[in-house]
Amino acid sequence: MEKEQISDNKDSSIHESYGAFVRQQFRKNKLGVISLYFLITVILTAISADFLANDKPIVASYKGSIIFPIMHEYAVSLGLSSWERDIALADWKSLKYDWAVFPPVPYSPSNTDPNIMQSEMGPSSKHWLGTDDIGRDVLSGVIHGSRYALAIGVVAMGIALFIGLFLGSAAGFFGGMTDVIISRIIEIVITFPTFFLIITIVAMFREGNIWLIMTLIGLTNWTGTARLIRGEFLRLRNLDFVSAATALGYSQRRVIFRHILPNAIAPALVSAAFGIAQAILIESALSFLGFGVPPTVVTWGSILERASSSINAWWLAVFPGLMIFLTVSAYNLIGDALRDATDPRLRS
Amino acid sequence: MSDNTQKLLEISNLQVYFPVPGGILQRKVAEVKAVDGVSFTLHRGETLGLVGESGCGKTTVGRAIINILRHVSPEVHIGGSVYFYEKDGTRTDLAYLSKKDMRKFRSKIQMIFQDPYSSLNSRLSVRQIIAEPLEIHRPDMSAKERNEQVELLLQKVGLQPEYAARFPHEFSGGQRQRIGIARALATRPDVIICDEPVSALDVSVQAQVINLMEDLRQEFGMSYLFIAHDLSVVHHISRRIAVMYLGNMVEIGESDDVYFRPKHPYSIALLSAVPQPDPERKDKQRIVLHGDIPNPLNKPSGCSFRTRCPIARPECADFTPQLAEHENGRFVACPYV
Repeated sequence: MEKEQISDNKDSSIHESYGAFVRQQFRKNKLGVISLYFLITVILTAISADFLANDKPIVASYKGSIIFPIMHEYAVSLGLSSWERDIALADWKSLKYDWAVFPPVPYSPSNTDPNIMQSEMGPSSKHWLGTDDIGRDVLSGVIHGSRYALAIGVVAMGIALFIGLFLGSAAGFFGGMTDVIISRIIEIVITFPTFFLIITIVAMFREGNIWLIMTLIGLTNWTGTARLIRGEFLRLRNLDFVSAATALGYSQRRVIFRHILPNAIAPALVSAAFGIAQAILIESALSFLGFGVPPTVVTWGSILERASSSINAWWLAVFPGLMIFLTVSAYNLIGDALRDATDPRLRS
Repeated sequence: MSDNTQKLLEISNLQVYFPVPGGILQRKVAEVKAVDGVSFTLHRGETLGLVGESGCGKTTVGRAIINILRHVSPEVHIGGSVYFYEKDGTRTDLAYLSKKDMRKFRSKIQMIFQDPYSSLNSRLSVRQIIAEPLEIHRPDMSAKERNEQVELLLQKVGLQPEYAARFPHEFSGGQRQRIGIARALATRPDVIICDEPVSALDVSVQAQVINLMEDLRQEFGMSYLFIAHDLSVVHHISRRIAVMYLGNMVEIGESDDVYFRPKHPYSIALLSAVPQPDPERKDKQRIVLHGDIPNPLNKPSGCSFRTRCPIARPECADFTPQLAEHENGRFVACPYV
């Protein structure tokens, strides 16, 4: 029996689920795959940022005992532990260690290098990508800034996807007055100049707050997703498999979530990829204009902003700018590749 | 037709009007009378063929019977009755049941669709597609029993049980239609509405599917309402044939009677269009109807066929002809034949 089945499925390339089909098609797009690997690198960098760029040693021997200051700091921030008094306020660099292993970039993004009292310094063997006007290491800022870039994309698009899916499905599935009302709401939100709306709201708060910005970007960028999902629902609900589901007495919830939504989600995910790119750009632009994050938080956009006041410090503009460009391009290329891969008509 | 044949469905003066919205406020400005007073009876174990050209309302009749029109267009007007008869003779009018009350009858009336490509959810495996009706209507079944049922059903429709793990796009049109049939069979319905089930298939595959459907009907003791425009197919599978034109039924009778000796002028024209397999036989003359099928928004007064009818008289504009019995079980909606 087992053998029969295997021989029967000899042509295994056609025996696959939709997900496997999409993966297979995606792999054919070289740019998409390269972008995906780049993005994975950025994600890994963001996860391990504390171990890549930090002024604390990863592991050290201090006063006869082995300490793991970075791990210890996680425990402290979770409230599981506290610092010894003599270490708490110390400058980690100047402590007398027996031995210590520092991260490859031994600077925290917001800590100034006390050895540099002059203003911004170009790339050197000590600071690979230079420092800004108050002596903060740019490479460390770029590494830690990747966390904000990713968080902005995920949080903002997460909010936008949730609202867009919810309203789009309702409008497309129920039609009638529901559709009319939701469509009008979408049109009203589209007419807002989102960028200036965000600037206005952020300006009302004394302190810039990165999470507030993420939420605002999400709350103003769901219209594209909603319209896409609505269109897909309008198309799909008239197809025979939805009629069949109704004729079989499936509940409305089952028809929406098991039969229509899985067929409608692919274009929404594609638009989400573009939306993430858009969100990163909005945050960078806000930070560049000085409406974004508080000065203590280092994002790619806020490093760029430093460049505007230091005309000669090209490294302040080039490196974070390059990261924004590469990350946004990667998301766009992944979106392109996903769109092609999820469309069976483009099967090659 | 013997009198002791039990009734299963009795459609009485069924009307389906779709509103045509217009203006800024999308108010109703007109109505399309897709089905305008259709009555017929379907008996247990019987196949009734429903024929007519595109747009005559035959598909709408099928969808009105399984009560899914309101899901797609909530503003539709449905009149008349669709009686469903239980085995003990009690009847229920399905046309006005709420969604909740209708659910009890869903397992008894099923549908097979025309397009095998859009009638299966491409994100579900064949096993999920066929098992889902059982999950809903047979909650007492264990997952193992359901799986056995799925494999049994696949065998019944002529597919290998191993195909259960595959997805719809891996199958041909004929195989997909078999999957659709297995899904309809899963709840062991009393009647299946077959909406042009073979129109989208190759001729050689059509024959296989038609014969399979006939075998299954006998094995499971079901009835079919077989909607099609291919008259030879309908003649082959049906015991009785009903002919529709522009939302009205113009003739109904025993399959051979209607097929070989049509009475209504529209039936005669329709049947003369059936290609003859024998080139020597020239006795049958092709009747070509003139003019287009009238706009259902603006039907002719009186008999809706009079604008194209070869035997139309001035009086035809004055009254709507009703189905009248010509011989035993043969009804024609034209007083001049």
